[in-house]
Amino acid sequence: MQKRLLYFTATRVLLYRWAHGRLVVESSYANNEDGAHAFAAQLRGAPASLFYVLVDIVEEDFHQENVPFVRGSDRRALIARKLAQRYRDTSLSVALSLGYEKTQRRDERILFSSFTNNAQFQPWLAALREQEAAVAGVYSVALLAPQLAAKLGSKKAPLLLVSLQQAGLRQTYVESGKIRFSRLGPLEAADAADPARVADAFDRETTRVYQYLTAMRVVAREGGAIDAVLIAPSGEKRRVQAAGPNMPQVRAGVIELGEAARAIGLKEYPEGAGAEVLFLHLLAQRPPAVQYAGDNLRQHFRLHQLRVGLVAGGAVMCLLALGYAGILLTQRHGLEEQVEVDRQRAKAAADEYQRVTKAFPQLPTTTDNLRATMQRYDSLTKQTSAPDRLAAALSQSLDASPTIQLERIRWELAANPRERIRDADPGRPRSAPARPPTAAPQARELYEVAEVTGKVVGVQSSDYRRMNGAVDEFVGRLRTHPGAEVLQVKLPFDTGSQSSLSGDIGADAEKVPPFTVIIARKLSL
Amino acid sequence: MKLPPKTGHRLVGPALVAIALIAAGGVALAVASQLLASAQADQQAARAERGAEQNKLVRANDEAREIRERIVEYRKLVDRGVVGEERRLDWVDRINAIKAARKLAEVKYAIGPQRPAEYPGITGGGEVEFLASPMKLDLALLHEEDLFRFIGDLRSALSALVVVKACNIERTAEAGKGRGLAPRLRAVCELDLVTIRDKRASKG
Repeated sequence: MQKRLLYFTATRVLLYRWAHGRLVVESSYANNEDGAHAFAAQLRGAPASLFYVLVDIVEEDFHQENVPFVRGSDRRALIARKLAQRYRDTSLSVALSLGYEKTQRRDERILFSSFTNNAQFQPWLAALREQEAAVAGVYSVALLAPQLAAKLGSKKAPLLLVSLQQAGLRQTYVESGKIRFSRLGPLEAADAADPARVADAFDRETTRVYQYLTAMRVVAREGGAIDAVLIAPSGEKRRVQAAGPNMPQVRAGVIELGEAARAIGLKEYPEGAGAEVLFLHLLAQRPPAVQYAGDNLRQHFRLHQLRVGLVAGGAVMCLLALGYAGILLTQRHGLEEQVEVDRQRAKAAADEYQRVTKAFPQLPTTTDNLRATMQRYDSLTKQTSAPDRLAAALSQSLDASPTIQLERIRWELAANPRERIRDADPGRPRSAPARPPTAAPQARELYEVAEVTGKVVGVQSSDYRRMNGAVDEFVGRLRTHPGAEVLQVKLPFDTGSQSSLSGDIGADAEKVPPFTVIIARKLSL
Repeated sequence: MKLPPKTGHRLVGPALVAIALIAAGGVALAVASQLLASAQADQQAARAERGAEQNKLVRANDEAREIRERIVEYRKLVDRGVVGEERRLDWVDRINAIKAARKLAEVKYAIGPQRPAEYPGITGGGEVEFLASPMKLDLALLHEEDLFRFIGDLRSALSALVVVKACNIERTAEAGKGRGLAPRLRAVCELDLVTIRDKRASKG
């Protein structure tokens, strides 16, 4: 929406149009009934605009007061009461917080301000209201001075800003970014037309306002010099400089209107305009948070804000969604790249697989059958043995035991020879039927077991000590063979306490009692 | 915030614009989500495909190595006749030949009907079957070494894997009576003659 600014002075009202840092005068009206009618007539045919009213008149009041520290609705009620106490008409009034006292009560310093003659605005504001114009607010030059001071001087240090507008010479004292005092000194038409008198006015008014500020103790006398920025009309910088205040308490700097306009980003303004264009530009660009108008005048502005807010909210949501969608699409792009890499790797693996399988040797059977055959064959060969190994161990032991003669060897493969011996009836001679190792098909160990039966020769059968000793010696040699394990020994004469022992001293001396040895060797599966 | 009276209709347009913008953003988000989900599914599929192909390749390499390692032994078994149908006549000829070569006094043998071999680790289904023909040997021996040599000859000569299950070697009653070169030992052994039936190989 187009921005239009109504610059209101005691004698004239000017309508400006602002766009992209360019300020153009659209109309100029005399500040009277006729001017207001003409303004109303122009409004009727004008496109919808956003209006800012900048008031630059003498009839304004500033009053600083400390109020108790309260918040919320209490504060609003307190300020409304204070405004009503001070001003007869509070429809155009404002309260600016200047901060809090550093005392225990923490009183709030508030600058109350209002125009003392609101009647002069009413026809103009009524015209705006009648046309349902979106009025952003009513502002005074004093409200905008802190912004201008911050751009032209220091943001924090106290600054006295002196500017020449169409309304007159305004002096504004700004401290810590907040307005402390503002005054408009109107110039006579003859004075305004004479550059020399204007320069003198700068000197005179600056000196006067400094004296007032020190008298009101806004500025401390012993506080040192304060800075002052004098905004001179175009081409009058030297003259204003020459006529500038010559007092040690004020460090005056002069800046020409054109320089100031460039400093604040004002690209174009009407020729012959005063410093009001600076304030108008700042107002259009970044209006202050506080202003004078009440809610009644700003209804259509609020409506405009709501309409813009709705669209902006929708746009923000849309942008957020689009942004998130963009993130998702970026992730998708990353995934697609990964997919492509995966597919390439899969294809490379498939190609390599084809190459490997083509290089397989010609098989007489399938690979699975080959594997199964050889695995089972290996397993079976590990379970295969023959009696010759244990026989070799027996033979070596026999060579060293000439009195031992073997009668029988029963050899077999067994999965659990100890268990079989334990389970066997000790009173019954052990028969050794050949049984395959399949008795324990899931066994993880396999043994070849030999039950050796023999007798001791060359020793009298009654000499049981030598007989048992010869067998013990033979068994001892068997035990020394690596891998061979003697599981059980039955001596010719069983002298164990748990066995029965009997003898027949007169019996046949040729009858030699046998012995039995069970020996095992573990196969490596 | 104070608004002018009866301004609802002036908010309809901006509200519709806002709704349209939000809807457009929502549609864009939904489409992007859909596309991302589709890409995620593609990625899972591609990753699974890559894993499968790489696993196949690893298996193929393992298989190739295994084949190279095993094919030589397998071919030896085929050449020996261990893989294939058993050849009993051939076995009988070989046993007679061994008896003659070893000059054994007496060799009795009995080969029973073929049945599936039952040994730990070789049972199981599939196209490969291990079959065992039980054989009982009864030998008259001069010395126990004759038995071991006879078994060794069987293992090298027969077209089967010879598994000795049990042997009983006993001194005979005639032993030690000084009758010259008469056999002094008798050995009775139980063996399995194992052959391998490969259904694929026999078809081939």
